[in-house]
Amino acid sequence: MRRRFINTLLGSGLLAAAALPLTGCSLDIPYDNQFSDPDAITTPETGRELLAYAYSSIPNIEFDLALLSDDFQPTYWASRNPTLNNEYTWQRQALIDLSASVWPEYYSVIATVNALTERIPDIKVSSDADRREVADLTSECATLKAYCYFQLLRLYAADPTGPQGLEADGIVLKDRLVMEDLPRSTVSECVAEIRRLLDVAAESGHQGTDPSWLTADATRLLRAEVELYAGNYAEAAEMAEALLNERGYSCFGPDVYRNLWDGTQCDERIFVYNNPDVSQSFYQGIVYDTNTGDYYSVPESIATDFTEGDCRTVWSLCPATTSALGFQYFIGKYNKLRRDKQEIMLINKMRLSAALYVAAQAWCLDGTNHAKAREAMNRYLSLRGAPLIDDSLTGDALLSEILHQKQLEFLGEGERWFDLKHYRASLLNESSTRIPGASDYRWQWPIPKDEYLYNQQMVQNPEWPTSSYDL
Amino acid sequence: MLRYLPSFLLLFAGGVSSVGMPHTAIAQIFSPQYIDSQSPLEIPVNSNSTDTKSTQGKSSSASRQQQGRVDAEIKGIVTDSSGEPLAGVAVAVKGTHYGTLTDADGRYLLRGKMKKGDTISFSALSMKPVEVAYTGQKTIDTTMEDDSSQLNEITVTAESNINNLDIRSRSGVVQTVDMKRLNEKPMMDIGLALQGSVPGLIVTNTGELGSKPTIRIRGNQSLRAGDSANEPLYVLDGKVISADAFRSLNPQDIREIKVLKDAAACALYGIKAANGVIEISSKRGSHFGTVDVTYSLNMGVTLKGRRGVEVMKSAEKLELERLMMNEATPGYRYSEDYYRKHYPNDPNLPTMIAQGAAVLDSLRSINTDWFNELMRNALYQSHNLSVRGGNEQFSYFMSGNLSTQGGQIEGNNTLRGSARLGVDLTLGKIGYFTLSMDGAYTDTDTPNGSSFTPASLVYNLNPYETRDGGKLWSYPNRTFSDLLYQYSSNSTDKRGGISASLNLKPWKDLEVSGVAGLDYLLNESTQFTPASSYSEQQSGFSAAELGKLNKNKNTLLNFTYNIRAVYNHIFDDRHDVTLSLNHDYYLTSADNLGITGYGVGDHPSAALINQSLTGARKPAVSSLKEKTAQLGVGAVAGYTFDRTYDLFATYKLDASSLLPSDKRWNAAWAAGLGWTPSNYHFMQANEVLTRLNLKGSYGSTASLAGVSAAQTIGTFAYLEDAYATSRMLQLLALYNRDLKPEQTTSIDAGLQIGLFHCLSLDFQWYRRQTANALLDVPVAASNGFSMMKRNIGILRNDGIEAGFSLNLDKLHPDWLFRLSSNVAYNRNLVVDLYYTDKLYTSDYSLIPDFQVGKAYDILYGLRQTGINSVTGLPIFAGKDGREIEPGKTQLTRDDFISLGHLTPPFSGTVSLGVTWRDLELDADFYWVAGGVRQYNYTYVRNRDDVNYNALRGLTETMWFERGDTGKKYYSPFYSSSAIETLSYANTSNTGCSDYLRLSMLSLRYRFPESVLRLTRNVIKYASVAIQASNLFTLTPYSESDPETGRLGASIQPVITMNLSLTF
Repeated sequence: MRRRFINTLLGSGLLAAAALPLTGCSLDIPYDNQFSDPDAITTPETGRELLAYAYSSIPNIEFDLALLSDDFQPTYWASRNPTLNNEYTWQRQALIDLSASVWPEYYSVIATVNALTERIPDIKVSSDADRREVADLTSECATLKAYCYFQLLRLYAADPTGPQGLEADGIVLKDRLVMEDLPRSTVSECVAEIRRLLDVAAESGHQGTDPSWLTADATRLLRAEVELYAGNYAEAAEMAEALLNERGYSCFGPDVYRNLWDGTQCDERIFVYNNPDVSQSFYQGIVYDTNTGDYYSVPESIATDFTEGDCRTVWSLCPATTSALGFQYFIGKYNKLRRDKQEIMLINKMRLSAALYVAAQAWCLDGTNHAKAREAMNRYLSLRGAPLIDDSLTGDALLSEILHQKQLEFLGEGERWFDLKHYRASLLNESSTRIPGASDYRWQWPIPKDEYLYNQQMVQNPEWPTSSYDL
Repeated sequence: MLRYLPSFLLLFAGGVSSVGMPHTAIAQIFSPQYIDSQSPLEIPVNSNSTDTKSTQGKSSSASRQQQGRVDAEIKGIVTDSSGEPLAGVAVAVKGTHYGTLTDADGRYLLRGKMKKGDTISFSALSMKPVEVAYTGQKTIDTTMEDDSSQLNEITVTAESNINNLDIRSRSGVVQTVDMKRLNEKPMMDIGLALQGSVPGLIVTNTGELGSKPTIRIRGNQSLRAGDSANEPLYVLDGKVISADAFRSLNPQDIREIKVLKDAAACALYGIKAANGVIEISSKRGSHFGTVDVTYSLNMGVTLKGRRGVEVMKSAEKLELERLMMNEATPGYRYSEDYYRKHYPNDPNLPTMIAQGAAVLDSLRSINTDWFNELMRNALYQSHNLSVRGGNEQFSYFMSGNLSTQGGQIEGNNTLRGSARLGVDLTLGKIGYFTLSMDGAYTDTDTPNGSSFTPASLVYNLNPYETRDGGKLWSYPNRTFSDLLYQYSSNSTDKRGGISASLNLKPWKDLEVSGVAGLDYLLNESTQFTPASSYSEQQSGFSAAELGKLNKNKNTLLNFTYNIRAVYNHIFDDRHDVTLSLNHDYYLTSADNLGITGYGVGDHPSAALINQSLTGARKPAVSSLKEKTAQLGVGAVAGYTFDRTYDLFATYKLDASSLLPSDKRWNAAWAAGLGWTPSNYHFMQANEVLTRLNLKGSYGSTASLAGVSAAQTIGTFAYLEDAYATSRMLQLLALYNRDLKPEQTTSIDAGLQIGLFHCLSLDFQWYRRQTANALLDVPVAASNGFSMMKRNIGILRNDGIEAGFSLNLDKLHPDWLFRLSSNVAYNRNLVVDLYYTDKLYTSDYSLIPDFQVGKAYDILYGLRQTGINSVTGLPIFAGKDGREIEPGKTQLTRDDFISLGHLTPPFSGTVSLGVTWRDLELDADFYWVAGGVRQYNYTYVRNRDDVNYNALRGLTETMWFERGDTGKKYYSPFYSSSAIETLSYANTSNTGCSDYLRLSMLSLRYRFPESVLRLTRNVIKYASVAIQASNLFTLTPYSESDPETGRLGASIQPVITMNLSLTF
């Protein structure tokens, strides 16, 4: 009996001994290639890696916006691509489809930024370099979120110059990474939030210079753009001018300009999108066939405004004759890189020229600084090698010339669409059958189904569908 | 002195029993109750059988017992008190090593040296042992009585699966698969072979040979589709294995499969068993000192299976082409219509017409039957070799298997090789040690890919086309050979497993057991599109970039251990108390690595991937590693009064590493009641009502099946590409901090009736309700994600299962007749959705995915009222009877009605077994009813795809011109705006998916003793059989397969010859 007892005890002991080391293990099992809270984002490096994903998620809508604006005209091939053609002609469904991808993409960036913002307090810092990096991350989070809000605001909200002004419906402001149904804030609330974010960014004082990340200069340029948008011309001009003066007009010279497209280093750049895996298909949509031409080309009326001595001409236009299309000015820039069999590495999102145009517009619009606007413009144009603005231009004529020059500078980069929206009452030629008139509802993009079907608080923009089978 | 059984052996017998049944499912049994002459202990023996005699006392030594014995044999049938045959009863000549086991029919044949006066003993678990004096009888039939009081005398049970507590089945629903019938089906996939084996265990074939069937116990427990949320738990010899590991098992190595259906039975396993449990026990050695070597061969043919649809012959096809007026088809291109339209004034018109007619005539003379050309009869073979042996201290079972089967299409083949070793060791008088090891290799090839399936060629190639007829009309610019060898996929599983268990019984009433097991599965798959394939040649890439190879290696490791202590005591001979505690741990680790590369040319080798490529064809690597663990503690209490009343309660607490530590612990509990009035004394002599048992249970369990950490807590993973100088860490999902496990409560009630010792009836009713049902639902895009896993509602499964079994084995000594049948009905319902009444999981869907008050597997569609004789398009009746014209009327969500259940709610089997002397006939039918399925209308052509062959009779049944009435199929000429409306299911393109299948037919002849003697007893048992599986399927679903809904993927009949020899 005793032996049996001892045997059993031994056996049970063996069982327990075999099992215990295994149960002793915690159930906090780390993933091999996944990281869960609270151990996931705990170092400045992991914070940076999460933020890198946010940057990489920024939608590149430059080509779509250029297509919707008056930068392009269709070639013979355009009818071969109905999807693109529907977008070019502002078809309702095409805009619904475009909006359905753009809205979630910006909010995806915002969600990742919120995820990082909520975790920054848990990042452990052990050195000054770490503290510096955390401050940079804080600054970039705020600027990136502000950037997304501003893009969304300009696409989806009524322009502040419209009848409702700053009280029109803006966009959804997301402060936290949780599932919630939020209403749209007004444009003024959105602008206030963007300002607040940019203040946070400025306070953190970003010290980096790599334009792949949103540095202090990007924060300042964005602030200037926002102030111009909101009609605070003096502040807009002041900030833009400060930035211009700090960076220097030398950034507008021909060598620097060339580096905007095929260089890795360029002083004019303030913010670039830097994920070559994504960039390589950028602007692919315009290509019908590399040999036989593109679906769309630059209208002669615009192309001929580029003069021979202008350093931008060779980069903005690709004049070519093809058997099917005859002579055409195909768009250059990223398309030129592709035609030249060069890899597209970077997409310019913000550059110093934008600061110049903010300043010029602001000086022109506040009515008292027309001379300053002309002077700045001519200083810049002479560096570009372009004809100067006539000194006699003032008021609307001056603004119109500034916007025309801006279209040339940012040809194919989508900036024109925002200007058309903002100044459409004066800029638009009502006889244009393609680009809708100033009062058309399509200047405010539709809130996508993915939002209004699941967010009970959402208010759709006028005349766009509000139910799933309403087209 | 305490009265003990000196050694109680629990045998895991299998292989061949004495009557030559090679594949028997045999339950755990007692060893012969012989007395060790050394033993100071006495044996309790009690038998009240009239034809048997109780014996008591000590036996003399074995050597003395050999004296005076002569060769003899005894055969007979052992049944229980209700007349059910008892499998696995140990029959032995006491004091000798001669012994055997009964087969699944309760039959045995005992051979050895005997002399008159010897005692023949019969023993089995939970049965009162029976002893019969040998007086030279040739036949001894006996009946054994239940003896639950004997449980306290069981010293040790050698059971790997230590959750297999006897008390759980007294109030829970545990059903056993008839392994004998399962093994009579020549089918390689044990999962598919389980179809119809147990009511409520629903197995559905999903495609071609080698594809994984869906296996569900009593319906889906979750609104989430797919295996990860609804698959049962598989437990082999006490260790958890994956579904793929289960599918690699050789049915002939399995002693027993138990299906645990209700909460009372499953709660012992905790939350991982929320979808039910399938417990598998492997075969074990014998302990009679003999060695049995068994070889079994199944050789036969896999037939082509049924035709999905009958397609056109040349004459009709050419006429259809003419009617459709597609210039890319010869029927129109060479028709008079064509020439008259295009060359109305050409002077050569009559010549052209005549030439065209000649071309058409020659095409009409060709009638290729592509079904016969492409589908094949393939070889089926299966070899099994097993060795069983051992003695009382040590026993072993070894087996090896090699099986191959070919599918319908050239290139679709599957092969399995497996080996198993089971060793049992007695640890003195206090316990047992068992060790099981097994390995398997399976290999499946298929030429069917996601974008192109050769099987579809049967319905696409035209009858006037031939293998070597040059360019095809159906596939322009391609020849027949351009259609083959376009793609190949290969998948191999290499599996190895080991489990060890220790059962110790230090005291009479206490048993301590433990089991630990490890199961490792390596899956390697290759998908290959050669450079020479048409799709690659047309892809526009340069030669250095052609040939796509995708290679994946996935490993899955399951580790389980379980320790259990069971205390069982009987007071006053009528109070039977069981208390048990357990602790278990389950770890699963999945590690996947995949590479995709291009430029391999025509060789599926990863070494040939062109790593210099950039852009769309650059090489890519993917990887995922996931490791999760569960830790549990549980308690069980059971009480039985006088073998009449049963009470059972179990509670198990599990912690899962999937959840954050504050939500980690979740419970599964159940309580059950049982009442067996037939065990009352006054009922025991009742010859009419021989068994009456009622039982009921209630239980609740949490379930986390299919949930991953990313859904409950912020979880990040690296992406392959980079932004600027930094890697990218992506937030994987919009996590839900409020996520709760699904909570399933179940109520079960059962009734068993036994009549006249030959008829038994069984009824089960259940209701299982899952609250906090989880689903990925769309969320507003401003949240930054489109979907989030949420607890969205309550669903319910109710069901009834009923069965009867009739055994007529005592009417005539030469005849044995069995008939059994069962029916299962399952109804599912969405009881509540927390946030809405109708849930749409996509913003574009017009049809709700789930709707309160409706079943969750409803097929929604439109009501068709006819075909417009002017437009040729169908007319649908929408909401409030409004008329819907395809392409003109905008559909709304309210226009859709329920067309029926996609999962047939009714299923059942009818099994028949007839034995006449040495000849045995078995047949199983399986049926399902009450389901609907949308027809696969790919073979109803329109103008754009009439270059493919079409459904026979279409020229008569399709609308072609104004005024056509009474047509079944709408016009082939319609605008693209009508396509959306036409593509929805509707009342006329949906059919009833019921079917009746002859799932098994077996005719076996056992060679009689007289024949076997000619082999000088080298061959102990031998039998031959003709066996067939899935011989035919009858269904009103006229087109394609009612089970898979696919044209080229029906379950294929297999016919084999079986030879089984034991040496």
